[in-house]
Amino acid sequence: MRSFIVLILVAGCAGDPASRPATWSYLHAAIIAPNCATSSCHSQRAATAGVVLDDPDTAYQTLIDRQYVLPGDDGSTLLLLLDGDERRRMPPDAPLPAADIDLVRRWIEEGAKK
Amino acid sequence: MKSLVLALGLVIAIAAPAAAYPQFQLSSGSVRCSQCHISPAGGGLLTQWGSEESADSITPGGDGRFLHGLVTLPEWLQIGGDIRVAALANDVGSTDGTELAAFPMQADLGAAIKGGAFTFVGYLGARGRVRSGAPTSPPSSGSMVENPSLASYFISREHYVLWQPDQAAGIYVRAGRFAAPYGLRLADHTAYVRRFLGYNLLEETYGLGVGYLANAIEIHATGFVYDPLQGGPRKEAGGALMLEMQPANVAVIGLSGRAGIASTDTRLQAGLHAKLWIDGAKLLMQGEVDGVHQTFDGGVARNQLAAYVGPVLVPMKGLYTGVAYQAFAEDLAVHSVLRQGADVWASYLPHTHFEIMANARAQRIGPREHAYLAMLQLHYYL
Repeated sequence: MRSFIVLILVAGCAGDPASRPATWSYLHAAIIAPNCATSSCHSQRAATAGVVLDDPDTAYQTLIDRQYVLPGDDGSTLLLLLDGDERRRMPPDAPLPAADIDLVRRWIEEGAKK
Repeated sequence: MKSLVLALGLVIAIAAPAAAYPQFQLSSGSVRCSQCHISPAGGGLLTQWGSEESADSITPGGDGRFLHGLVTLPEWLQIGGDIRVAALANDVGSTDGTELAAFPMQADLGAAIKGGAFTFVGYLGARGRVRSGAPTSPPSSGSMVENPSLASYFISREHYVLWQPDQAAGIYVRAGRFAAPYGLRLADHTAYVRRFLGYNLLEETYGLGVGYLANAIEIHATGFVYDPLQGGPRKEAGGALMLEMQPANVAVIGLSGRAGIASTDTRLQAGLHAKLWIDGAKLLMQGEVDGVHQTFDGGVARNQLAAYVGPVLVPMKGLYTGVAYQAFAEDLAVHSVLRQGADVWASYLPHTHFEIMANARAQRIGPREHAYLAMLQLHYYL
């Protein structure tokens, strides 16, 4: 039990979130797919709102083509959805930690490269 | 018209959870899940003995058999199913306020057909739908919003062939779609130890499993590949192993491991789970802790931690109440990505086949985000 508490404390006071790479390959595998591409949401099968995010290529194309992401624009719809700003927040059951949203924001500000 | 067909589909495809209720293990007097379930690791369709036992040991009374005993099934056939509707209030900090919804949560019909040492188990059903497919506002004036196809609502959580010469003990082999046994196997797919470890809703994989069941020990090994039609976020192939011991008929100690390789990353995870039934206090202590090492393309790696601790009190027959603390550290090297959740729940089975469940969860996500959920479920199982 003591080691469990230590692990939780370590998790709460570890390194800088900005140390993670703001690249699409990392963002998709580490944040977008596990949180957004769940089977009843943006998987290929459910395709909620016509958005499929489980494959990195399809996901990137969808976000760009449908203008959820405007490269360089920190007012992109994707960020408004993740922040829950004037619309239903995504993911609707468990929002992303602010540090994850900041990483997505950094990727968009740096040009949203694939 | 689409809605009408969907509604009819829901009615026709009556229900049963492919998930188990792990609080029944030990507290009901059954030490091993497969004493009541056809699946060697528990969950899903009940055995004939399990159906009858459900009226005696987990509810105050009734007839636990198919359709309350109105129809006697032949020994080679078992039919089960669940239908579950729910209502929720969900506050995740959106500026548009708390979300209120009532929705069909589960509708599954399952059958097991037995011939000699072989059993075929299959489920058909409809997936639940909390929200409409449309976003609250389109991303841009030119964008189109498409609805999911009708076919996407029909699912089969499990379908497999099981070879098991002796249901009570010994070796088994199964092949098909099922969840590779791992950890506590909680019914709640949103629990962090399920949601973030490859066991979220409909993430059952196709696999070949072998195992061995004995008096106070069981072992399950599975090689798996993702389901290309119904699968979840990770298109992975790999293997899982679970060893569970049940010493003295009052405790469970389990070790699990899982490795999954996807085109974008590799994930290795291992965990420990345990239960202790304190009969005098009618209290079941249970918990799980897992560590994950994930390596991405380009050599970037992260370590994760998931944990669940949740005692269950059984104050009277048919009433199960619990609290739980859970945590998920998305990356142990990064501060402010820790999720923590506190749950309180009660499940009441006033009569066999019927369940009313209420639960609430408060989450702290990172240093400053919060989310709150309250849910009521009405559940009928065949």
